[in-house]
Amino acid sequence: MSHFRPDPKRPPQPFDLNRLLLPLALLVLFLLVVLLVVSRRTQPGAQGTEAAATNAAGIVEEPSGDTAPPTESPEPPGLWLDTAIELDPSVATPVQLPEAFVRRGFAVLHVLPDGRIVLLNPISLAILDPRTAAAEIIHEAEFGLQAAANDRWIVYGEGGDEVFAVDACEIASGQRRRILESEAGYYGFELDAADHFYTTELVTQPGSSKPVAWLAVALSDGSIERREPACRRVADWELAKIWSGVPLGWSYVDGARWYRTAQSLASELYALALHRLDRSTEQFEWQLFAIPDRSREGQEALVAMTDLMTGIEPRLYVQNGLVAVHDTTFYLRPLERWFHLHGTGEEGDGEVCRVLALSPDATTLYIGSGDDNGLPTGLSALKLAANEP
Amino acid sequence: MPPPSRKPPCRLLAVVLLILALTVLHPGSPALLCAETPRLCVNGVTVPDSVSLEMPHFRQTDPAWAGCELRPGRTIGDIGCALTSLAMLGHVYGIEQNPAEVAADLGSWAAPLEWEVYTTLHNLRIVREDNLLDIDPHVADRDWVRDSAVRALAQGHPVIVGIQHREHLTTHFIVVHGYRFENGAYIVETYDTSTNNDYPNLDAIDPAWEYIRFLEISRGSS
Repeated sequence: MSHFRPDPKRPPQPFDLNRLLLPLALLVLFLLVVLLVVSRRTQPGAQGTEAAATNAAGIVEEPSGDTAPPTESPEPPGLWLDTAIELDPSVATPVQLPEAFVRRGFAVLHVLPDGRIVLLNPISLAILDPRTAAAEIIHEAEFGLQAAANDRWIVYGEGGDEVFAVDACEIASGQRRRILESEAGYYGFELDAADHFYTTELVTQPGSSKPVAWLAVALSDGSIERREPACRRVADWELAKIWSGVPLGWSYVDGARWYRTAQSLASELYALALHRLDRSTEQFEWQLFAIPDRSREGQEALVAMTDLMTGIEPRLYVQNGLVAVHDTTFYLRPLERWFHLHGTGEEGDGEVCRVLALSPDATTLYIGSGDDNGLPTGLSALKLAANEP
Repeated sequence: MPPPSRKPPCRLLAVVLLILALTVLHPGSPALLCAETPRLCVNGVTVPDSVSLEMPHFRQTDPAWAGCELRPGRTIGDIGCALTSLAMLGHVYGIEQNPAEVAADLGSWAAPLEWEVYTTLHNLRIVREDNLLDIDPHVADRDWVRDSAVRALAQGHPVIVGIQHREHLTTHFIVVHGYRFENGAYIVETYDTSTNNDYPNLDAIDPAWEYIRFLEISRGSS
């Protein structure tokens, strides 16, 4: 006789709800834990979340000596992003700016070897000495001023989108000359350390313009090299020379992976691996790489500077000796440390700070302050020696 | 003496867990914030279900300004779609001008229209700009245009989009003034300056047109 056969003599038992409630409660508890874990993983802005052993571009990590993940032994702060050294921007010294830059905001184009800073906004282009507040106006316009600068040259033009004439100013002599002129115009301004100016040549078609060539103009002799317009960014070009198949195309598709590049005028080349996780919540996996040795080929040339991170899309920003992944989180190459501007970056409550540049002697950090629109309208100098622990 | 019953604590535990579950699963709960797709987020917060920015709907062909000459032989009625879009957009920021008044303010910068001259005059700022000429033109992706417009509007910023007919290469500009989340999708509402197509929303724009420009405009620094 089976133990499971109902006993006809035994009266039917009423259904006991409590027997169901306990497993149900445990199931709900389990689901809650799962939900909380998932929600934490998808929380926007949650950075520093370590993830899989492969990086955002699917590369399996092969840590070398200087890029090995942190071990349990104590390490000095700042070696990794999650132990970034906190800096206090409130002790920075304000730098007086020409009125046009306070009123219309500005971008730092370059810090010259003598410590002066090249500043640009749509109406003014100037070289500012942050120690004396002396400013040399290079060019002024009614609107649409665009420019690029390196140690020896400032190249500029006027136009809302395309510019129709491009002029070059030799900084030491102050001499100027026109290097490009066209009725269809040019789009984009970039200079490298070898005195080449890069822009996209346009042709006019009914209703709009289209790119026909990427130009490299040698400022020394004015010679022009025309390249295919498929690659129109110096850092992309440099990385593609090292890794011919590198995926560089932006995509708005969830799951897409690509690299964004940046190069300083000191030829410091970086690649930010991006993996779009969820476009509705603006979530990415990302990882920053340096390319210190260009004799290596392919993915092996990429050396990880961060762990694989999760969060909003980083704002990659590069100046000599400095690479930032967000407005207030950055790595200083001369000091080989990650830093973070303490107590800033909170949008929506007025003034926010942004790291802008490092002085050539790596003793002073230049910080911009401005409103939530993201354009600095104030500049201050932060002495690093006084701020370091 | 009957053994102590374990039923009340079990019931209590279940009730507590159910209340906790309902709290976490509530639509406003941080745990679910941004977890629902395809609801869009800005800085980690889900955007409102609908936004409508106050502005008039101007037509290029309105007799009050259609004949206003922008350059010799060409009038607002002919080529003033961008200018008319800008005139509508200005109302969001209290600049209550009609297209003829905007043209007068901009002078020679009215045609071809230089956006920056207008934003400079009125202390506005182009906070996001995308151009088909860019190296990675985001504007080529229709989903990006829709989502970026929703995110801009959720922050109170109107948007102007430029489109170009793939075959005829005609260009046209339209202002984006609102959106609503309906039947699981965002409908992004537009004011078209032209009565030819009179596109009421981005989805209505014929695929024969491609996006070439995206301009999100905010108030400048105070």
